[in-house]
Amino acid sequence: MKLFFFSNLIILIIISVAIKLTVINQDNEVKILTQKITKIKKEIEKLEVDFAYISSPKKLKEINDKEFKLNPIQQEDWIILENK
Amino acid sequence: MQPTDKYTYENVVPSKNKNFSTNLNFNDKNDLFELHKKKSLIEHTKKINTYTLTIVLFFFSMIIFNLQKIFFVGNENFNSFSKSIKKERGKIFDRNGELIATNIDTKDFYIDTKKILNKMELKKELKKIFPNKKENYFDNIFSKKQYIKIKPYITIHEENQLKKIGDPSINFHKSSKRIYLQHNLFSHLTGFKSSELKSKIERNLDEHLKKGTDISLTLDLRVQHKVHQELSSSLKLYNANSAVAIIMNVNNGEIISLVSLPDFNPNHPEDIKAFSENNLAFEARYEMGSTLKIFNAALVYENNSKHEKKKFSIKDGYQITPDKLIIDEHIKKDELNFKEIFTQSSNVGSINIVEDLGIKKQKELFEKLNINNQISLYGLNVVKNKLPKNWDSQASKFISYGYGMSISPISLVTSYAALVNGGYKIKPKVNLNEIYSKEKVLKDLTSKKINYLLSEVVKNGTGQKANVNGIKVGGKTGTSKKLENGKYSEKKVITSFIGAFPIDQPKYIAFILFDEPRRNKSESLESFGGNTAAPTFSRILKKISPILNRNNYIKMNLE
Repeated sequence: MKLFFFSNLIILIIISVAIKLTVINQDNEVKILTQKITKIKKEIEKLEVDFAYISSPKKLKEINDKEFKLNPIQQEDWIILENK
Repeated sequence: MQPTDKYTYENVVPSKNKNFSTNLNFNDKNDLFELHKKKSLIEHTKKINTYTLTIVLFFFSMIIFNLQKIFFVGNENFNSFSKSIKKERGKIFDRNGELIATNIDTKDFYIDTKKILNKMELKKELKKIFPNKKENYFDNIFSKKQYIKIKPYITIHEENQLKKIGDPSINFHKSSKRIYLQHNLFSHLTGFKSSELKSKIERNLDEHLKKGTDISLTLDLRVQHKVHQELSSSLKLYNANSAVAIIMNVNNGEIISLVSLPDFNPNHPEDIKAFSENNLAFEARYEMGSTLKIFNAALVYENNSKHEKKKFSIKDGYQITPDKLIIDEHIKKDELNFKEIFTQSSNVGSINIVEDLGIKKQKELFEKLNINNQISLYGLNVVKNKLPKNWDSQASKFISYGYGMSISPISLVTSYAALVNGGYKIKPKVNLNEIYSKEKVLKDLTSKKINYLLSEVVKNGTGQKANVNGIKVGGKTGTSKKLENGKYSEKKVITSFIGAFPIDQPKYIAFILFDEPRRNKSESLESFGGNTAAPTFSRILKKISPILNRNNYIKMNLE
């Protein structure tokens, strides 16, 4: 009886320690992943900032004036399209 | 009981379980004593067993408790780790999610003077990298034993150059810099945030932004850019001191565009000049002049007055004070009908209307249109309108043609919105997520008649230069003399135009104002709202209407 009792106890302790270690391990993995996600998020943010700067109306106008020379649609153009 | 040579335990101690019996041999009487001794020992052992069991059970329950903590409550270490990830300051977006203000990771440059290897050499190198620092700057720093910040937010190029020096005294600390990607475009709304100072939204909504909450403005980047571009070129063209432009959705109060010139680049707060930091649309008050005359028409329509069919003589002018005679010099006629008072912008006619209707009704209308009260805007400061201290008969007459009362451009635009949108008082807003409310304050018919009058002003009146092909526009011009040392100047004026479009069912209202426009010498014209603000309105509308049409903001917001 005593042997059964103590063997159960030891098994339970071993299981709980194992679970604890697994959880700690998983935690560390989550931490590493979170850090990686944060890093990627920062990279994305940098790209977003770059894109927002490049695609700002002022910059687009500069690019258009230099490369494409397109004209924006005017109110008169809308009327012509509607009539046609 | 039969005599026997054997004593059975059963015979001595009665047992509940008759089937269970143990044979005990008693040799003599001491055995009974021994039995009693053994019995007490067993009892004692049982007690010890109970205690041991209790301790073991307690131990077990502790293990189970810890296990459930692991499985169900979660890991404290992880929570503390999550908390340790610092939340970034919230970003600011326009209505379409275009980035206006955000944060970038950067580094600050520090020097630990105790660790400098070669002061002369380091000073020489640092002077090359930071040529703008004063001559004695590094001498002063190197003379003390200290750990000091030399420059915040260094560039990658500067960092690489500093690393090349290789002195152990050079240190870098991570930091975050607030940047404004659209430079000047939204400066009067976002304000700026430096390490020491904050202004406007950055200051007033600091608590929200600090928590990482993003803010979406009602403004549209593309519209804002066009308005800024046109207003800047008009400011140069008319050589004005300052200019304001506001475009607002008349049905929900959303401000689509707001430009106040001069403005500033929030990325360089150290270069901001005192005057350019003021948002003139919210933080300045003007005597608006003739744009206020349309309130007289609303007064007539709301009170079902017969003035609509009346003729007004303006030939002799109006003696408003013993030494001030009001004359409509710009009108060639001696007599005007009701409509012409507004299309020709007659001061005398306006005074006559208000004189007939009385101060009380005028005050009531201004109260309904919220001119008497302060406007509140999420995250921004708005100046209170300056009303006459003594709103008597004379003050009432001055107000009828736009003097004696200084109001902020945003207040004028908000009250005009109620005139043209079917009579609903609305609250202006710059935060896209703010819920809007409407309150019916004027009759539908009043609003329709006002819209007709405004369209007539643009078709046949003073606002003809505001016309745009393809859009039905209605509006009112305004020109007011500036007050200088207690007297109205003959040369310095404030010119403005406020217009709604499409005027048969207005969706937007736009307001343009120039402070002290001075026309070029080649043009002999004086500056009026009709020849400065009205054509600017037209140029802006031509450029922004395709954007507004495509987005169909009204439909989008009602859905």
